[in-house]
Amino acid sequence: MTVGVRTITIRWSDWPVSALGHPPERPTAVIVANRLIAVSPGAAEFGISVGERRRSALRACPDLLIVDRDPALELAAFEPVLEVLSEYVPGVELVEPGHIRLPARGPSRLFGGERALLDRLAVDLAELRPAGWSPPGVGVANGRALSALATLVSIAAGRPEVVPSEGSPELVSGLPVAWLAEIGEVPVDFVSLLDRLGIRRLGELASLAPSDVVSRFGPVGLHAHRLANGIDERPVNTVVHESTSAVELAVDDPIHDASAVVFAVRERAERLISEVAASGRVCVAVRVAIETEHSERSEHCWYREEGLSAAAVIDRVRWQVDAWTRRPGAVTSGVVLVRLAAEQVRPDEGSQEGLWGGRSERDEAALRAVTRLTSLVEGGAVEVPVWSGGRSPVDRHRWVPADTVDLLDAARVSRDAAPWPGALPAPAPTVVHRDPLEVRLLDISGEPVLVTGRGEMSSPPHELVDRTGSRRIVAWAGPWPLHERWWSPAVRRSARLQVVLDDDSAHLVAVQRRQWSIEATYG
Amino acid sequence: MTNRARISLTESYRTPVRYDRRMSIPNTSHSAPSALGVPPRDAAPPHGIERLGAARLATERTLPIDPVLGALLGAEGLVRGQAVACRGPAARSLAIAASASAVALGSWIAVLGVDDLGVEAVADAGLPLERLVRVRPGADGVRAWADLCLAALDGFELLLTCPPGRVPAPLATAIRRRLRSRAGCLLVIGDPRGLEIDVELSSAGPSWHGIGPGTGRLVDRHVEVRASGRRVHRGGVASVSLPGCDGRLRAAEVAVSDPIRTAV
Repeated sequence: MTVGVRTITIRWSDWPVSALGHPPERPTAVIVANRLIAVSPGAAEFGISVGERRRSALRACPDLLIVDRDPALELAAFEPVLEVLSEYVPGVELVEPGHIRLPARGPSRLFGGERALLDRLAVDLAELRPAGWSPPGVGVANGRALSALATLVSIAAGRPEVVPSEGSPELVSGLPVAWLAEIGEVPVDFVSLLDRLGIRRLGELASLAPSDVVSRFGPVGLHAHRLANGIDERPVNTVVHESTSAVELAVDDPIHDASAVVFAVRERAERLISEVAASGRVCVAVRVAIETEHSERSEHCWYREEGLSAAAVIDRVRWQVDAWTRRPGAVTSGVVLVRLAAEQVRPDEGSQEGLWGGRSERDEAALRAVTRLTSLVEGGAVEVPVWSGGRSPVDRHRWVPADTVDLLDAARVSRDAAPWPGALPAPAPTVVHRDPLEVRLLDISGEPVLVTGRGEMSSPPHELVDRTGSRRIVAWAGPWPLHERWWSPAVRRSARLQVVLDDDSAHLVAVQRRQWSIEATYG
Repeated sequence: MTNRARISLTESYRTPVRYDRRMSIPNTSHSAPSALGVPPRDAAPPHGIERLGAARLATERTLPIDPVLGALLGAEGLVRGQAVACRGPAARSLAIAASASAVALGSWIAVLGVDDLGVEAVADAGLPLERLVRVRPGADGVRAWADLCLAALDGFELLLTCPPGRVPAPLATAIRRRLRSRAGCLLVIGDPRGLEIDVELSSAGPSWHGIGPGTGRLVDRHVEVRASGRRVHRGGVASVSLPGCDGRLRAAEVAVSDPIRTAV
């Protein structure tokens, strides 16, 4: 038996790439935390798939264009789709740009059945993207999670997937358990645990006794077990309690700067989320409405199965404001009103945010300070490190603005498991010069030291001359040649040398096109 | 107290290595303070409740620090509300090593005005990068830098910085007052330039090992670290590997000299 409201989920799995505006045949990929989250058809031809790391993708296709994710850009490109869909039904839930959900009952009655509705939708949506991109996955089922699963089936099969109202256990039972994590219903840890226990298909999970699953895995296990049986208990339009309020930010002076809007909203978002949390619930859908002085209005309902934290709400406000201001002519004056409403809440099972991703007071205090610092310094000077991998100390981490990443996500700094051949072993230098200091390296007779194409030095280095004067080299190691990106115009050919000078300081010097420079210092 | 216990519990999940180490403290009757986040001490006599109370107070007054530097400072760790200056040729490594333990146990660190910090070295020293934030103060001078300092001290328990110029006395006083009231810890690299300093950790006599004329590579650096300041109980000298062969601080030997002779 299944319960739940008939729901349509539409998902363009390659939306982040297609929003960039490049032609589909061009190999392009969008990356988050060093993993590809979307690839263009052109890249797929090289065998590159979602979930790969940057390095392995570049190995398959050296010309691959890799772009960091920009949800605001994706949303700006997605607005026309939302406009088309608003003609079908008023309440479209936005999971992320390129991934939406709408109730099926109303529109399917209007257009004469689900099949007719899907045909119409397919025609309308096909016009919105240039030819060459794959059509969206469309899944119709009872309840949110089942329709999300049906959408994944539809993406794989290439045609809309309609699960009849009475349910189709055979559809669910053949699916991999990992898809539950893919649609955000259960944590990834839980799936890997099931995998290690030998439970790979939803049918195998469904065949277990519910009492066993609950006693072993708790509420998460119960939820997964119900889904595996084709029961989706969480309806789309949960009634919101009266007490769950909306918060409003009304300003007399219109705000013209997008980041200032986000900054001003932060405190309200925190209040809203903590109010919901105080009653033991999590907010899963929030409606964000922004109005300008000239009564222009942007309104979206954002949905997140795992629940929305204050940071997640603020992210969505930022995407919405950015996307809105990027559309030419959409905004002509400053923002005077922002309204956040908790559209849907559900009981907090304490399984996902509470224990594992819980924040301490120190985290909260630091996040507040980051917000304050961001408002004090101009443009992106509050930064956090992100692992990017590489051979030289400058390349190995990138600094990204703190307001563009999830600060509590430790995955952004985790290093590759695979080694980088050619990288220097520990200890690493404590001073990394962004603009390497140019120096001269001389041998004992005062001649410049050169490194041949075979990585051999013309003569042993004897002194290092920089702007301040000359220092004698007491010890040195290397040279270690480095030949990077030899396939592209950005070819880099250099050799590195560790030197210890007579003042006991140690440096990493590199030579490129016969010019020596101090890349880093061991301070 | 319950609050503190909860925080350190979640930390245990985040850093399994640290957890393992705590679990292997031999004195099992003394497991309660380890759950409270007290760094294991060598000669800690179990005196029941009173001892526990003292230990808990210590964690509230201090931030955890590497045991080698802790022994050198003679205090329980980095005392909250203090400013520490790191000087000498290994100043940066010293500042990183001094803050690594606290960040590993959940504190956040802001790096203000040290734009060329080598992130790899920070990570190798055992400081988790997910709680590190760098702030680049434009070229607006000391006043803008001080504003950022105050804002950072509001939320970060550790602040690693390097003043861009001479800090006027009123600004230094404001920073000092904020540091005390927010109970954070300020680590200054190099010359404090007018900032009031409680403890000075100075490094001297560096020597690199593992490298020769055309042979080997940089493996580790031996350096002598000396602590001084009006709140340091015992002035001592520690000979350490900083960085050691894995990037962390390693003890070579700690010789705590007689305070009177040091004073002479």
